[in-house]
Amino acid sequence: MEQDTRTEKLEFTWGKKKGKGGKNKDVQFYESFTFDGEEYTLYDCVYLYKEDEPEPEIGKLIKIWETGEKAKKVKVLWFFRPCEISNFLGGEEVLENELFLASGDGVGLANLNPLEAIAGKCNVICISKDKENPQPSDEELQMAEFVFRRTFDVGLQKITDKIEGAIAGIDVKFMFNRKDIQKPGGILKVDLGKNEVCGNSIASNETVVLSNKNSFKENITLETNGNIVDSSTLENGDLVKHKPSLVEKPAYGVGLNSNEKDKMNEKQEHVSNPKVLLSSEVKSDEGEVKRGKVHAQEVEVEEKVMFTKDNVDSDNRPTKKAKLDDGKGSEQILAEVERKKKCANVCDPKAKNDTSIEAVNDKKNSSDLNCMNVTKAVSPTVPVEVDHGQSKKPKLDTSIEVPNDKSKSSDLKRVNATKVLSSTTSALDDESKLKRVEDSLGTNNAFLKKMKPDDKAMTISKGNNGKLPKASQRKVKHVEDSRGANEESCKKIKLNEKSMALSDGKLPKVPPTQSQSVAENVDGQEVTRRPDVDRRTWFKGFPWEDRIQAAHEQGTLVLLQNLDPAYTSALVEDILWHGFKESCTAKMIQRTANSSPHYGQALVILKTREAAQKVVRELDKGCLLLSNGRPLVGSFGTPCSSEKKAPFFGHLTIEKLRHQNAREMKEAISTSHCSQPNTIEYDMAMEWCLQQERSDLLWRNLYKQQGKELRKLKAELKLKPALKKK
Amino acid sequence: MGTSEAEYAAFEEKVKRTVYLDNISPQVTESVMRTALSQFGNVKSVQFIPNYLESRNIPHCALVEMENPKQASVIVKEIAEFPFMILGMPRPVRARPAVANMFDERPAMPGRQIQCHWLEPEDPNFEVAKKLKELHGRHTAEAAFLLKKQLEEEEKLAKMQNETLKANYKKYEMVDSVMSDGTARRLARRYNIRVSDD
Repeated sequence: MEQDTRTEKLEFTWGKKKGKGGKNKDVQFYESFTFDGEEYTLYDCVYLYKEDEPEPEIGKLIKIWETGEKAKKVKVLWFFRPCEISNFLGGEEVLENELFLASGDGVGLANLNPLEAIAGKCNVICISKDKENPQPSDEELQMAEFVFRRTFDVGLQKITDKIEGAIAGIDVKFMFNRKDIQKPGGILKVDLGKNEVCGNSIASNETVVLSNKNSFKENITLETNGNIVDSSTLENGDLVKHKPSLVEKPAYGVGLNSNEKDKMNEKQEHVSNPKVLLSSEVKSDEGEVKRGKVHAQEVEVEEKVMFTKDNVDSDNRPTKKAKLDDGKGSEQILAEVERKKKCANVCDPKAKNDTSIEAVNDKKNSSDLNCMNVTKAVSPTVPVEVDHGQSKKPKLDTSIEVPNDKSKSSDLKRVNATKVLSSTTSALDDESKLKRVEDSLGTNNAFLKKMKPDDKAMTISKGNNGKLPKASQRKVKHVEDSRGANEESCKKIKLNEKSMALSDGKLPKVPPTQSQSVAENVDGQEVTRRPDVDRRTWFKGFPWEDRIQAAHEQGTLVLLQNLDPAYTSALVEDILWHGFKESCTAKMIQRTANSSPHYGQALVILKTREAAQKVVRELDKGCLLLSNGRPLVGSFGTPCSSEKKAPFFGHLTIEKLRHQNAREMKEAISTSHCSQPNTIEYDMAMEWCLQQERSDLLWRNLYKQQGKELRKLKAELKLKPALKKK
Repeated sequence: MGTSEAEYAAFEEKVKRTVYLDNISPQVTESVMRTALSQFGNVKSVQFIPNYLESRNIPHCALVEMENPKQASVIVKEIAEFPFMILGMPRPVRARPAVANMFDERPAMPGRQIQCHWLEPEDPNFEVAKKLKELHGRHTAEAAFLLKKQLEEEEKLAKMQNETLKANYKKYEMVDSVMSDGTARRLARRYNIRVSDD
């Protein structure tokens, strides 16, 4: 169902035009485009999904155009995963997330794909020490899903350390990191740090800001209804319309605001990985966004009221709402999550950031201060995740400024807390992502367990040293109120996480502090996303011989006989599809001079052993009559084993001479010649010619005889079917 | 299937300038092939026809694409006229003009429609089709037998020739030794025959 929604809703717009080309000048080249909410530009790295390929391919866009027939095409320069070229790696040491850029000339370098095949952006960093390559920062490296420093020459089938000259006609400077990428990367890191560190505090800040914005809007439009979350969702929803990716994230924030805020903490604890959190958030966001549109304004108003009353009361209400939202959201989210898995990273960073911030604000406004804290914690993580994915332009700064707004709406105490948190967050920014993650986790755990501030401080201290404890304490207070909500939300969150995990390709970097549930989820992701490779159909690295050998071992190799010798391999595949509804790879056996002119043979590799058995069984029992009156014959193929080759008869050497004149013989062997009629060699050659003629005659007679028999039988056949056919 | 006329025409052109060679030793590589045939013209490509099914190691076959059809026909003519050895003696290679279905990746003939349908067991054709299948099985067996026979014949011939060669070599060796150990000169002196060394 997710796929369906995906195909329906993918939006697309072209970006900057580049030039025209093609025979009739009807091909328009582009430098960028927006697809499913993600902006792609030339030389971006992307995931491409292929049917039957469990693992996405990774490639670099090196050409984008639209043909005269309005078909959108991209030319993709491939990256190889190490396992795909393991035969050529030798003893080379390979980093865990290392890729190899294709280079040289040959099959597998690059190919054309429909633009729709793009599944999402992929963060690939070049770590080549080349002078031309802007060196990535540590943070960038940590965020990178993959790195590359070497190329794989598809022509020479060799790993090359140097990236130079041009690859696929593209100057290698485009293969390196972009200079402008470095800044965003740093910002992202900072954001992440803020988010994580602040956990509660940052979130609160953001939420405050958002709440201010949201509250204004919502207040104007809606009146008190008590669903803070909804209001935020409304805003998010609007944003979402413009930018799907953003919407998702904000929605998440919204969900977090209500019940999810509490849950968020729990989630964070479990998730620990920013990515995971993001994914979960995204799901929740989507679901919430829809609802949010309806209820959001009212919710905000209510929330404000709630705040004024008791924090506890407000907390309870948000949780209820959150539950509702979660239920709906989870369904929607699940559907959307798949899409977004790919796109989450792709989404515009700005938009995402904005939406997330707004969501946070909404959350803050609507929920009590406790909730606020929770949401704050949640929200920070969310934006952080977003940043990771997009890693371009975090808007955390705005969120930091928000605290003042919050103070207006919410209690002063909380405002102070948020400020503290923001400060801590800034401090944390410097810290590495992992630390941040740990911090966030620690804070989350504190919430869940209602741990004492000290404990939190302990966990947090790694990154934040003292600043976090305050936040955690505040959070703890809130947490108590929101416990119930958190529990419910936790369940939902887990669901989301699972889906997230499935969708996320980037989970591998989960910090050790993750909770068990998170770890499990992560494992699931790994399994689905990293199945065995070696299955690129376009890559001819695996010779047919190997494939039939493997297929034979697996029992999927079928030998089809009695085909028309003129059939092509593709035709055989079509026939098999027509007759059995089985897809396969087929290869006609090439004819030689001695092959029967009556019968063609093909080797077919089917997908499963069952399919192969079915084909052979049905061909044996029934009759699949081909158009020219040939019943198809099938059997399990047994390829000739490539064991020791039998000797080749007819080339004679004299043993003694070979030893005496080894060198001379070698030279003689490497040449070819026409023998002259005055040698013994010529006599012998004549004998061979005689032998060959004799064989030829035999073959010809045999086939003539067989042809006669065939015609006779076919005549019998044709009379009757002719009536039937017409 | 979806091949255009132009593509198929191009393929037919390629077939015309291609030579099919068989009776090739398994040791012959593409580069050996190129050097061997470059005396007849420009070799554009060499493709060995893989043998997936025969368990025996039958002599290799190859498709050699030349620059133009004329060069291809020259090769066929020359090799038919003079036994042509590549990488060994005395078994000559054999050349034939290539045929379309010898090629591995070939475009489908344009406009060709393939139909196929399952025959019901009560269909009168069902029996015929069964018989056709049997016939096919028999024919395949016959062909396999003939191939086996042929290989045996070849082996026999090779053995025979090996004997001949050995005998010949022995003869020459004997003559050589007689000359070299002075026996010939002694005999010549005894019978008063003049033997010149040159």
